[in-house]
Amino acid sequence: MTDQYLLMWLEAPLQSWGHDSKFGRRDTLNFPTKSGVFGMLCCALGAGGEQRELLEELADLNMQVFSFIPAKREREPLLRDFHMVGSGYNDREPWENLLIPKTSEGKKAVGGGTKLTYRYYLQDAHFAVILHVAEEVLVERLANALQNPVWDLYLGRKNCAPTDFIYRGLFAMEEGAQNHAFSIAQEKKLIEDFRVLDGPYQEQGEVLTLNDIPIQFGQNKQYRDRFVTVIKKYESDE
Amino acid sequence: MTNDNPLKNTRIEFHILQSFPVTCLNRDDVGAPKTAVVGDTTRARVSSQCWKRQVRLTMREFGGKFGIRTKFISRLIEDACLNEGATEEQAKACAQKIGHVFIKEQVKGNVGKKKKTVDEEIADEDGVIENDQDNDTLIFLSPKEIQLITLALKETGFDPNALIKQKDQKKQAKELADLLRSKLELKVDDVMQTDALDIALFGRMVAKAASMNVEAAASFSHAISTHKISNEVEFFTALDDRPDLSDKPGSAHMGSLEFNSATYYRYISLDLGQLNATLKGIALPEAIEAFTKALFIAIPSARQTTQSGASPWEFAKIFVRKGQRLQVPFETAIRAESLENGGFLKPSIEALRNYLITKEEQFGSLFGKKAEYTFGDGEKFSIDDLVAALKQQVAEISK
Repeated sequence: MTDQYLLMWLEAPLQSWGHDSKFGRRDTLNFPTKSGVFGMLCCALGAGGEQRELLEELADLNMQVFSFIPAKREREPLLRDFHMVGSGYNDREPWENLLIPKTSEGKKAVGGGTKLTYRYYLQDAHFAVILHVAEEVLVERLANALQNPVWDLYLGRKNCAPTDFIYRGLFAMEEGAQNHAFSIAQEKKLIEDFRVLDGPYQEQGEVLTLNDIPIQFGQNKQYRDRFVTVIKKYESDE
Repeated sequence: MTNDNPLKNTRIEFHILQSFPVTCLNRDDVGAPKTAVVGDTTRARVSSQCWKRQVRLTMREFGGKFGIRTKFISRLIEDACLNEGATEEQAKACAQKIGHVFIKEQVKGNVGKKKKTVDEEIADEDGVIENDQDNDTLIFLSPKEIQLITLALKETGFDPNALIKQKDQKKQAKELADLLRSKLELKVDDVMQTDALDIALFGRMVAKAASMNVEAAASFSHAISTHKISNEVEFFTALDDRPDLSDKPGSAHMGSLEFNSATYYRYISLDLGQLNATLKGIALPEAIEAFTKALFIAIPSARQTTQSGASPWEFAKIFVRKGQRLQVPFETAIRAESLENGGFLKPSIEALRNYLITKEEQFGSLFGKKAEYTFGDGEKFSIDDLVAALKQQVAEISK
């Protein structure tokens, strides 16, 4: 029987995992989303476009997330990046003019056309993600793809290049994957600060509804909801 | 991406250390230099979009085929049609039709109302607020695309309605995109191809015809200082040239600006597989040369008149690699060594080298290194040498 639990380590100075942002304010959750992780897997596979079939196979797989922070530190606040679009271009220069947003008729916008956007990032975040992929062929494809990705891998946004290897192995048991995740964390002197389980477990922690299971990528992205449970880890006083 | 793309999975990674004295290369909305917290310390930051933009602008100085662009696609089509023998009337008709294909039609009910700015939300008939991204009419066409459209028009005797048969504007854009793709002999699953180098490197989005989208081959991370910084304040005054005419003593204007000095770590990756697919293997060396040179020269333009930064690369490690891309975190903030031992740069170089060596060891064959170049460590290796080496390496892999 193939090992079914895929362990990934997501670490970078800046990461961003959005789930419901609209217009110019692009927010991030405190942990990786299924849509973000599946997008990254598609990137590794070189699977562009809608990918309805692949996403259907992945949709209900169990995904556990463990968040780590350096021992003795607080979680960093979100970084708000001020990102302007279309500013500082000479509108008399034909090429530069094309980089400035216009009105819907294609004419110059009142006030110049510059857009102000605010994009949020997680700072100094480290995550272990365990994906339970029971299907043998699929899990091997994913494992190989992560080690030899077709396209550049990134953690949420394309500018979030990872600082360590993402693929950390396949395991026969969930516990094996978890132990390995914790040993990686220990080597880096990190401790768990919370974990996110797939599914609603009211007694264990806070239950959230996320619209982050991708049904379709490509031009017209579609998602559906799932429940997750965020379980904080409190440090003991001993 | 087809399986016979020899450059699939291969990328060039630039790990660059660049030090700037008193500067404010990239500002946030209150005019302060941007920062980020890494490893529990505040670092200076230049956002990815800032440096990417500068490289994009600088690339135009290095020749190569870039999209010919005019203010309106229509004028370009008009000129091209005239060149191919159309009458003035025909050329104008063709130009107008093609130009209109990519401009968003007016939403019903808005005719005659005040033109909306791009920041206002527009509701369609059902009262649903559309994402205002849809209003953008940015369109880059490459020289080849203009030519293909013009020749296709010529085949119909310059009758634009014979070329674009659809009445619905949304379908017109798709029709034109399909036409271009078929002229380029692309199959359904092939990526869009272009001969314009900057589109291939930096990407293109066409709101009305997403099959013309081109995925960028270049990817920039936020540049972050390797060490802790605190923004400093520059207090300045502006003195009137004729103080004798004023009845008040002292300066006419006082203000303060924030700035910092930093050694930045920059990570840029160039996906050769994507670039190869987009350019269809043509002008790949040219693209790499123009990109590398622009990367070397480009410096963000913020506050260049008063806090000018003209510092080149101090040190760089350039890899040609398969496998997963990787940047250096500089998680532990670098501390300046003593005065004799070179400030932040030297320990940063050492930390960069060590991290890359460690990762290469840990992952053995999976590191996938094809070539490695070092710039700025005392050996004679200019930027021209680097460009030549990269071109040759890519040519070898492509065989």
